[in-house]
Amino acid sequence: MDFRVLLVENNSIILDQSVNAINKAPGFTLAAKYKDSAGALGQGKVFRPNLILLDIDLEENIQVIPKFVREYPHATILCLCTQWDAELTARVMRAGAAGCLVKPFSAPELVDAVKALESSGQNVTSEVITFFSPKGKSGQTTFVANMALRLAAKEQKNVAIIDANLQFGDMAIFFNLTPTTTIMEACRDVKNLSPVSLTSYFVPATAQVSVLCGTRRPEDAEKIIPKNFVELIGMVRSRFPYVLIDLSVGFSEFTVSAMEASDLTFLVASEDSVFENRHLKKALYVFEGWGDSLQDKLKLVYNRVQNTSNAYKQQLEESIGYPITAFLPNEYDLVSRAADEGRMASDIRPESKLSTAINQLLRDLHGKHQIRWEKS
Amino acid sequence: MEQENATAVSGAVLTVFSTASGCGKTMLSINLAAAIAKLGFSVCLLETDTQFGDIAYALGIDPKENLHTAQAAWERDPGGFFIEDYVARVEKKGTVFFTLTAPKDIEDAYQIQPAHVKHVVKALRRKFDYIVVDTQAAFDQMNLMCIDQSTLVLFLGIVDFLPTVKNMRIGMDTLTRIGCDRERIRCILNRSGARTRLPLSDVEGILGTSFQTHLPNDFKSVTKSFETNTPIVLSGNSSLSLEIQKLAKVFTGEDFGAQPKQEPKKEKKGFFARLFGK
Repeated sequence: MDFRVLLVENNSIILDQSVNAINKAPGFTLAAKYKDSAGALGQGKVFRPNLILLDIDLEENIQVIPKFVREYPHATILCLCTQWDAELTARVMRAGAAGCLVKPFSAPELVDAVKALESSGQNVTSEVITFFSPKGKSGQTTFVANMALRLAAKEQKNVAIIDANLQFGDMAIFFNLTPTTTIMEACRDVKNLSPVSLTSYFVPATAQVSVLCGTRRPEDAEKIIPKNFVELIGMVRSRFPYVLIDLSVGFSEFTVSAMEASDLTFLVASEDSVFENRHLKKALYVFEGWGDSLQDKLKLVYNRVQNTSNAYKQQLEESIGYPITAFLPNEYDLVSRAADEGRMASDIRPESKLSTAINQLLRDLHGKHQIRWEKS
Repeated sequence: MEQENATAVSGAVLTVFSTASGCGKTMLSINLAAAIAKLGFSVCLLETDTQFGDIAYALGIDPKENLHTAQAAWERDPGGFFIEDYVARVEKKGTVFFTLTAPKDIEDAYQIQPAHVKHVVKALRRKFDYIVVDTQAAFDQMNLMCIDQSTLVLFLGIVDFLPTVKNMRIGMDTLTRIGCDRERIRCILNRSGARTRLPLSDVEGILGTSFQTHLPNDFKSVTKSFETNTPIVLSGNSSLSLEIQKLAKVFTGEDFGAQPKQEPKKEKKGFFARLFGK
């Protein structure tokens, strides 16, 4: 599809630069340009644009987004801002825009931004899921990696994995990836990034799963500011329909703020630890702070379970005092071989017990859990 | 402020550390403390995994005082701080040692400050021959402080799958970077003989050192000892029990076991080539 662009930009220099970029971008034609929204709303219609680039450095332009939506029901509205801002993006998206692009932009940036909107179905709703285990060694990374693969296959949508196990992240090795940039650089640069330029920090693991890899050295963890990470989550959210975050162990400002910024948290436990139920009780006591929505927001997954019977599940639930959403079977050989060889994507077959259990979990969650970006 | 007495004997700090949880740090710490105590030395087992430490569970105790209350007491009055008032006495099968565990509540764990705990460790060193430290698997401020205070760092590893080995290597490199010399590190392999596809010689090649001690895989006995709250070294002479007792003798003997110089293997193949270059 070719894009006929209606451009609204108040700054003359950026207006010229933008015109230049649009003309250079393959598949894009400039239909009309305006310095203010009044002109665009009045006369623009005759040019039948299907893409509107709207400068939102002016507050009045944000106010008239709903008018653009009414006047141009078949056009996609992409807002132009000097600095990307999660809150502002959320606001313009609620008003009906598809997203934000940081200006000045180049021709490839424009192409990527539009491609990003298309691949997410333009209906940019996203779900951020964090994975947390109190003590660790719970098989959490395996769970995240497999869930990403199954989710991408089932929904036919793009999935982002963020390896936020800050000191000893293993996602790169699971998928045999060689990252040039990691979560540390992404958090450091977040203020100057846009959802499009952020994509280059991710490494593709499969056609639909991309990974933001963990730090190279444990010391890098100290450089990550929790506030920046929350901002990063907001940005990744606007680019991927599903965002899965593999967190470090234990409660810290970092893990807590990431969980609070997410729609759903999986509390991952493993039967390997003798005292796991006590760790869970301790952790659940902290989670009680989430109040009434606790059971909607926090799902307990018990991993590496030998006895997957319902009776045993009930017994555990009584002991812990919390419902168990999923029992994942112990597939040590399958999982460790895949990780050793960096072939997670191809080795964990859809028919394995683990995949079956994760598919079941996704079916159970589907429909019951629909907390979406716009509502939050 | 507390007095640094130049003539006072300062106890040895043995920090049990790993780069992954679930390696057996708590198992080794408890048993090492018990084994050293059994040899007749005064021992305190210190727990610095402040949020999810297992020592109280494993020993079946519910101490009145803990690391948080000890820190608070030191903060209130460094000069009037007596560490004796804060350690819990543990007696198992006639062997006595002491422990200072992490607090029960996570809220209290949040209050713990490594810079203050340092003074608690110093107080422990003045009182006990040996302090065995059970840590959390991370390079956080607490562990950096403990490693800095350590006579020896017991780097505990298991060889299950490749990510664990990668993290052990990162751990060794990081220890070196933060100034912990190889001479102060003892590499201990836990669950030796457990199922894995990774040849030990390759793993040691990657680490650039060999494991001086191999602790046999005895998952059942370990689970049972946790459930019965009795250290393995005090209940019979299984091979795991004997290995840990041997370690206790090495650490308390005159010979601290000079480390054989081990050149890193040049040839790296298979699994490891893609991780650490050809």
